[in-house]
Amino acid sequence: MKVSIARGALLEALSTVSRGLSSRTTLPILSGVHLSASGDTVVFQATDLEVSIKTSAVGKIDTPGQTVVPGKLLTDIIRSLPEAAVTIDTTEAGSAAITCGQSSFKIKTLAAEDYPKFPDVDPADSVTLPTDVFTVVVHQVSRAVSRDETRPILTGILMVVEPGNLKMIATDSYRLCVKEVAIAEVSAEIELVVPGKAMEDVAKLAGNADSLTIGVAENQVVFSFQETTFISRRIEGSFPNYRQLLPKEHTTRAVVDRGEFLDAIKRVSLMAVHNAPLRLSVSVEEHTLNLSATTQDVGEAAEDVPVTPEGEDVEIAFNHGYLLDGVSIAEGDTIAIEVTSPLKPGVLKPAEGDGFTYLLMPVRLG
Amino acid sequence: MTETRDTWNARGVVHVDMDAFFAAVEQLDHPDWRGLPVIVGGSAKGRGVVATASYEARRYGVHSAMPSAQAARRCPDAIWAPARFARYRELSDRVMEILRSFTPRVQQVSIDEAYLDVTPVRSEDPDPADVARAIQGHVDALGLSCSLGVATSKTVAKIASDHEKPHGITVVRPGDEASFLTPMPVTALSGIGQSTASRLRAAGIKTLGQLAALDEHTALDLLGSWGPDVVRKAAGIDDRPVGEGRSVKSVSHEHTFATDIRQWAEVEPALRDLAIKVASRLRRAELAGRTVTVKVRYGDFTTRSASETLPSPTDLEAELVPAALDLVRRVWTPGAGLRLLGFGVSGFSAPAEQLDLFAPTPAEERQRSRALAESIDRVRERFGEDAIGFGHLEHESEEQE
Repeated sequence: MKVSIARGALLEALSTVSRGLSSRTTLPILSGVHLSASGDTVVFQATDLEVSIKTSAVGKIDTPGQTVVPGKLLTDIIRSLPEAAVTIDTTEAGSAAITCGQSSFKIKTLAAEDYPKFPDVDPADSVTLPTDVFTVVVHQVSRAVSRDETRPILTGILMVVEPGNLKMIATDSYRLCVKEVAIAEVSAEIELVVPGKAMEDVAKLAGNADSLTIGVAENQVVFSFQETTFISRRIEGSFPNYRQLLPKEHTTRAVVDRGEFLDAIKRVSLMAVHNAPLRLSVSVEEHTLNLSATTQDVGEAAEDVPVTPEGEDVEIAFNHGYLLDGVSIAEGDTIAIEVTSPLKPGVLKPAEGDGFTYLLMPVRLG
Repeated sequence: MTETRDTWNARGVVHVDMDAFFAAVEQLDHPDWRGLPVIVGGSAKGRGVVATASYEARRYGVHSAMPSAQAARRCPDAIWAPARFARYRELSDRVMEILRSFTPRVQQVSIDEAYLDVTPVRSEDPDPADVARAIQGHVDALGLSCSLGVATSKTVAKIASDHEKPHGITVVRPGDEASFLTPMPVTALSGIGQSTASRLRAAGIKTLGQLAALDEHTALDLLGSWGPDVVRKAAGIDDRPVGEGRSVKSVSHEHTFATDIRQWAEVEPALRDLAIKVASRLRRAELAGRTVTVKVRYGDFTTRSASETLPSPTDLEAELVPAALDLVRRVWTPGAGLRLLGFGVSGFSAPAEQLDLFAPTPAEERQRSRALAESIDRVRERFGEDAIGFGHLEHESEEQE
């Protein structure tokens, strides 16, 4: 194989497939990027067996063929090169010669015939979504995705597409984030749980595309955008029924300026070390929300934030990181905090509208 | 009873003190030991001490806290019994149950001692002296014996319970405190030991009456800051309510070894055992602490300790054992002989807990872990400390040898 590609196009293709590179040392072949050249196109592939990514770039093909090159090394080399045509030549068996301007590299290649075949998925249903909407929603709900592998279903994002509507839900059992947006042009109906990391990767990679198509097969999901195909496994099992977790009512509601609240949380959290909780106390009469934190042997902090309250005075405590996440990703300049009791979940939502709900479980104080 | 008496119109406090409790339990469980000198405590061959001696053994001059070797010399025919704390606790619980059937206002001060507030409030409430008699009857029915003091304060009730041991009931009716206390030796007052007594004796003070007559200035001079308090108690003035004890600041356990231990394979299980006992006591007291301390005493009696603060309060051995094993390495290197090993937890606060949306979750796991630990506690209470435990990999200890 001998190909020449513009350095920029080559780097973009490598950066895309690099998200599928495996760090598993037991299967060294998976640390490589598979390249195959024919016609005027070079196809790049990578897989860690969880996800498989394929993309392509146009180039000048002198000799068609295929090879597997250590992915991270190749990407690092291309990134370091000046903007010019890059030639990759594997006519000498077992190695690839990379030249660009005055620079030349020779790196050992891996056996292309050992590389896993790219999955051939035939989606039963598919839907096309505007990328900007998809990206924003994934960014919001992915904060609540669980990192705990002992409950695999919670490491995923539940994606529900209904006619005119896209919904994503994630929970790590301490908080639950539900985001719903209206998308007029959508008419399909799909529902599946996709690993949170794959969703985040797709959201990052598809950033430049106008739209992306999501194809759903029995065990896999295929994201297609521009030249790229991103295949991930689906997570088996049933996602918790989030609707019944959402409180139907509240006894206290406080509307607060999101920016002010966020800054106050960041300040007071400095005294919430060792996982010490953040206490919130709403005084309806004084129109304040008092935030405070105390850590034994460290110190304490407190701050009053002006709010527009409704209902009863209440005191509740949350993990400061979870609260900070929720307020950061909430929408709008003003948000509402709704609370029922110190041991029931609190809810953050935009002061107006209800497309976004962030529910968080409190910390029971000793 | 033909005596006539005035209505008890003051506070009524009963102090219940079990007679030779551990030895009495052994005699209850071993009928053929009844009437014979029984000593509960460490064996005479090691460094043990007498925990309790039966009244038969006390006649030979054996008393609590006496080195076992000395006790064996004084009473060569004694029956020696190793302490079975689980069994004592079980009977102690039954005694406390009896006490609580008379009033909820019971303050247990140790395994064999408690105060009750039996102040008659309504006209039909029994006289405190009658309550004491009824309690003794119930304890007798258990097969054990107790002595009781009835008075208007904890201090006087405690002195009274000690007045006629064993199986006595001493009633100091309201107004009789001074005549009862005045002739008593100063050592009758809890807190006055031999050294304080000799300091007082040097000042010519031998009885509580003399002590009660001291002015505050002299009391401060003789006894320091707690002098005035001691003088008030000697006069029978003590309004501490039943139930008010010192709040617990730390829970700890230590063990003195018959022969010094040197190997990790000996230290590790001993420390693990101490931490498990402390965890069990924490749970019983519904306490969780953040500060863990390991104490070691070397063969030459030098004592060292190391402490650490955990991220959050705990009452679980799953968290205490690793901390203990970690700490001991800071103050001890394998090979050095240890005569004592101790482990304690302090810095109490109820644990804050992140609540969960679903089960099972990490918080529930913790709950499960607690349920497991509590079940183990119950098994140990019924069948003894060694009845159940966690398995350990054998090669772990072999590696260290």
